Amino acid sequence: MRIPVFFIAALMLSVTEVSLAEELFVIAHPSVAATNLSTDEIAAIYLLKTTSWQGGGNIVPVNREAASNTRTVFSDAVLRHPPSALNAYWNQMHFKGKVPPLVQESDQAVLAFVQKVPGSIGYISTSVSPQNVKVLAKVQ
Amino acid sequence: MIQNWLTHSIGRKLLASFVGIFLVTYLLTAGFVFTSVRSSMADAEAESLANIANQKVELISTKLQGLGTNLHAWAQLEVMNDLISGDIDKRVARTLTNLKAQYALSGDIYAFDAQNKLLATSESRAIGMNLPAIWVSKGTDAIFIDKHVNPLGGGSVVALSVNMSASFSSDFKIGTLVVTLPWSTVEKLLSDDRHQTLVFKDELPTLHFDSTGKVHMQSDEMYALFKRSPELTLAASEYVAGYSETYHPPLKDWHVAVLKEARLAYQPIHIVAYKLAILGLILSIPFVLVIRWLSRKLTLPVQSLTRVVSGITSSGDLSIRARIDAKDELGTLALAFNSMAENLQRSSQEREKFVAELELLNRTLEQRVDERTQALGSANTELTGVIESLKATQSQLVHSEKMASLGQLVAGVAHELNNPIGFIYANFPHLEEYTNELLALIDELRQLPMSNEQKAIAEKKIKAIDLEFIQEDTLKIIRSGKSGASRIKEIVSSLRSFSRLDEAELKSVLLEDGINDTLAILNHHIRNRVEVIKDYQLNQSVLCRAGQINQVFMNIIYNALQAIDGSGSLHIATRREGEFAVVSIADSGKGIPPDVINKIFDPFFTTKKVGEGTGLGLSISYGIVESHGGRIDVSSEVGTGTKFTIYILMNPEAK
Repeated sequence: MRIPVFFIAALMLSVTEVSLAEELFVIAHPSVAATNLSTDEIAAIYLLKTTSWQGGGNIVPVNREAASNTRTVFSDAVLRHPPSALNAYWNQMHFKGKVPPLVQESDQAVLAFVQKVPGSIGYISTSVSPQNVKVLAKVQ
Repeated sequence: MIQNWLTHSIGRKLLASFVGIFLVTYLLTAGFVFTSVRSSMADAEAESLANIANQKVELISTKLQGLGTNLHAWAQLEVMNDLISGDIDKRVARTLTNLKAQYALSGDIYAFDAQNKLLATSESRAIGMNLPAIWVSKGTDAIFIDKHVNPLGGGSVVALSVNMSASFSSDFKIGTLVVTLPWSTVEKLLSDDRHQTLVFKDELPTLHFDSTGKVHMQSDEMYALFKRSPELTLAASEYVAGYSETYHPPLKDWHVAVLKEARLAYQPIHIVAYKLAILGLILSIPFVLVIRWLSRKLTLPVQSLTRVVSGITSSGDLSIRARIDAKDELGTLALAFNSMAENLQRSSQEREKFVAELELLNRTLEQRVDERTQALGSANTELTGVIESLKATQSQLVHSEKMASLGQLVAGVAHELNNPIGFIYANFPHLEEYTNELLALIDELRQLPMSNEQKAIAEKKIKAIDLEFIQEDTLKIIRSGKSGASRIKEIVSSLRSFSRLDEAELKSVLLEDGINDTLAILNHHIRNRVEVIKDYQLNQSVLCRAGQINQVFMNIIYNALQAIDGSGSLHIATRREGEFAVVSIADSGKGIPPDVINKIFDPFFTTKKVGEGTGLGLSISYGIVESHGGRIDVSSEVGTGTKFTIYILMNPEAK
């Protein structure tokens, strides 16, 4: 029974990836001072190389779940590494005492989180209106 | 009655005292053991109950601590970050449901967001309720909320509540996580079949849990409970109680009392008591038997001794002896008693003997007194005799001394006279011869032829001298002279023999000679005054000390002559009577008065004037005669005369 389930899941993923080649907003808490971030800066934040904002305050990066299409898009476009490699990297970082990016399972959840947590940064589909957050970048 | 029973026998006393000692000792020991065991068992019981109580508390404590640890872990789950975003994805709710199922929780988990709104719960309940004040936690540690009614779901619970922070920043509060544990679960943990359990807290008099259902608030029982009394009385039932220690977090103010019914708890102690009692009984049987045997053994000799004593007392038979069984004090006592009985017997026998002797003595006392009196009389007489003999000896000594000097004098005189008288006497024969020759010559001369004238002258002268008479008378003179000389010679010889007074030599002499010598010496007292009549019939030699015997004759004859006043007669006779020569000398004198006749032989007894006699004569004479084995008898009649009769043994050596 397992093999068919696995097969179906893989099939579904490939279908999503193919169908949803979308654009992403990189959003942050409104209190964040920065107004625009380059892809490299965002990557540095998500790879835990930059941990605090220039104006002060810790950066709280928010990620999507591993199976999410959005995360795949974000990984490809911003981090330029496949999700599996990134997972290994974050695990490694986790053992070095650094907090990997938090995971939220939906655009709404990411949006709500970023709205409420100062210093947080996340990414959502452009299909979602980025209310009460600061849009720092748009990723394709 | 017991006293009466006791006072009858030492054995019983011994038995009673030993049993008493045993009882006291055993009871004390048993009591001590029992109380020690009881207290140690009670302690052990209390300790074990306390252990159980501790275990129970610890169980709950562990349970709660585990729950707390879990709560902490759950609070740090990354998914809790979703509370920030209001759990849009319902991930928290799912997680809580999963956790409840996974940990098989009997209670529920409630997650409140930072605004104290209930966002998720493990139970299917409407969310959105506010966080109850009782569950509000401050600080980072989980707090323990003691038994209370669940404000969300109802029912008694205990709860743990913890504040949650975001995983990315401990400063970022994301809400409160609360887990409840139904009180029924706690009760299940507290309960067990064998014990009753009470849970109480001391700041409020609260009884959290009472499995007995018997304790009522504000009662004395509650007070005893708070005092942690090891023994409790709850609703008239006795319990032993053990109390938990108070170091168990988070139940710091919990007190768990585990009760056990005293009846059950002390059952082993009662068993011990029964065992002790049975042991005492079992011990007492051989003990009593041994003591009984010992007391018998101790009192048996005493009883036997008592029997012997009462036997002696009742029968008076002192020959009964106690049996000696042992060498101990009782044996010594029996020995001592036997020796005492022996002594008694002996002294009793002696006493009987003495009594008999006394009676005999009493009977014969008079006779004995008589005998003794006689003996005394005879002794007295003997003593008198002895005194007399002593006196005689004394006088004889005195006289001997006197006579010795007298004898020396007489011997000297006699010796001096002996020579002249010797030649006088010796010359007389010659004188007679010469005279006869002269006379014959004269006759011849006359016959011669001569003248007448001459013849006439001659004849005339012859006539003138009366020759015829001269012839006759000369011869007579010579004869008379011869006789006189002879007598002088005799006297001298008598004196000489008298002077040999102390000659101890026994000689055979004729007593008559001695008498004659004496008479010759005393002749001047006799002559012309006293007629001496001799009647000599003995004429035999007697073996004697002649000098001493002559002295006897001298004394008696001299006394006789002195007793005769003027003229008188003296009869002297000798004869033989058997082995005795007897000389009797009787005078016709004045006699001896009867009152002094017994004293005449006493020394120094005299009737003469002082200086005329010594009073020793007869005494000495008596002594001399006695020494010759004889005696002197005297018979006298005043005015007629006195007769002394002297008895001398013919031959003293023949005896």
